[in-house]
Amino acid sequence: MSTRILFMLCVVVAGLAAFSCQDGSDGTSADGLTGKGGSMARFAVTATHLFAVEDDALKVYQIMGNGALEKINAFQLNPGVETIFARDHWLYLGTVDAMITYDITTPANPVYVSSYSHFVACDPVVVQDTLAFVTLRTYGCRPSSTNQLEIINIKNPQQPVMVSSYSLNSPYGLGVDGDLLFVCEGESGLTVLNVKDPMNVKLIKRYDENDAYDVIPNDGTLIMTGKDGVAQYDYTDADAIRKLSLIPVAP
Amino acid sequence: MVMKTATRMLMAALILASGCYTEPPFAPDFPVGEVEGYKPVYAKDEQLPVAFVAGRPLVHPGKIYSVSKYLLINEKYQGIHVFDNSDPTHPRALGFLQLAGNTEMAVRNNVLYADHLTDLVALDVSDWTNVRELSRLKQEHWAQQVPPRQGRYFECPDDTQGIVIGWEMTLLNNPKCFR
Repeated sequence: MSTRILFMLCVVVAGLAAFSCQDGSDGTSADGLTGKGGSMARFAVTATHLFAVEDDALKVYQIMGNGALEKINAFQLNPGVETIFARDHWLYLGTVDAMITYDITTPANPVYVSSYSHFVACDPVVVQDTLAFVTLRTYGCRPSSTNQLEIINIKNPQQPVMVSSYSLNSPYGLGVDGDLLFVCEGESGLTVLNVKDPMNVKLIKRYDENDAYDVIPNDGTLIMTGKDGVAQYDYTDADAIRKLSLIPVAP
Repeated sequence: MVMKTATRMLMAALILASGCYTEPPFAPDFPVGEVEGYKPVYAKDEQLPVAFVAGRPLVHPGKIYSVSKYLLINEKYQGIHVFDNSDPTHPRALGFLQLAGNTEMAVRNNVLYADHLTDLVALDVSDWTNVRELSRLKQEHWAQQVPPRQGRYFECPDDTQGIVIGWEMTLLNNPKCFR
């Protein structure tokens, strides 16, 4: 009898846990209330919290009812943290030598999950489904590194595994939308790749854009920053990306 | 006994020293001629308050942010250009949010989270022409009197030019400071 009650109780608890997990997975929210930043962002906002990375720290702020912030936690990290990206209940930090994953099911206490190390380079990260896309760029003081895209399977967050890599010229920011991956390559312009089959990345086209730096793909419209200003493109047809407008930089 | 205390002090000193100087301190020679380093970005008193003012051209655009119909473009260390982007073929300038020192931003539910001077602010932007401050948190590590990275020459801050709201990498002539 008591075993039965205990069993019932377990079922109920398990059910609750499943529900709370689902709540947690709403981290980035598709409710339209949260916006979208580029891949070089140092702020990531969820429905309830703001996560901010500094060169050597991760800070957690709670969003109060009226939108005000309260600082609730801070972690010291190794110096070299450059970007942050939140998806579901995961945080992905791009650092000079790794992609670090945190579980934010309990947002006040991000739990370190894994670190995917690579060459020392500059490396923003974006995530879609079970894949993470990291670009690595060499620069002056980090000559041993390489210029490439790495696609990492993060289905098991404890054990990120590289699926493939793709050579690039000088990658900066990047963005992913469905099968399309947009990589800013500075003076080499904008590179559009088809990543439908991550084992076999295909180049769609390179567009000559002046010093492409970062992008936000947004439902068929790409927002890109470059030397000339902030340009927007229609990418509903990936083979014929069309410039819509340019907010120019003052001459 | 004295010996023991001395040993302890020596140990403590060693531990402290190793903590403070993970790398040997490097004493640069001055002057150094033309060298790459950090230069302070100053703000005058009138540039310090948060204010929504007339739109202005992009000069040094930084990070971008897209939220509902708005496109936000950071102007490095100055603030945020606000565009109505309902029609991406014709983004329409709404104005400029003066936010000295700003480089970062995110929006949730009509609240803008951004760095202002050495603070992290939450601003209600449901009406851009009437921006209201909801919270302001001091960030002790965002102290601006020294540049963000170590091992670089920098131009010593000059109080008479205003307060330092950021640092930019550039070529310096005989800098007198090093960190």
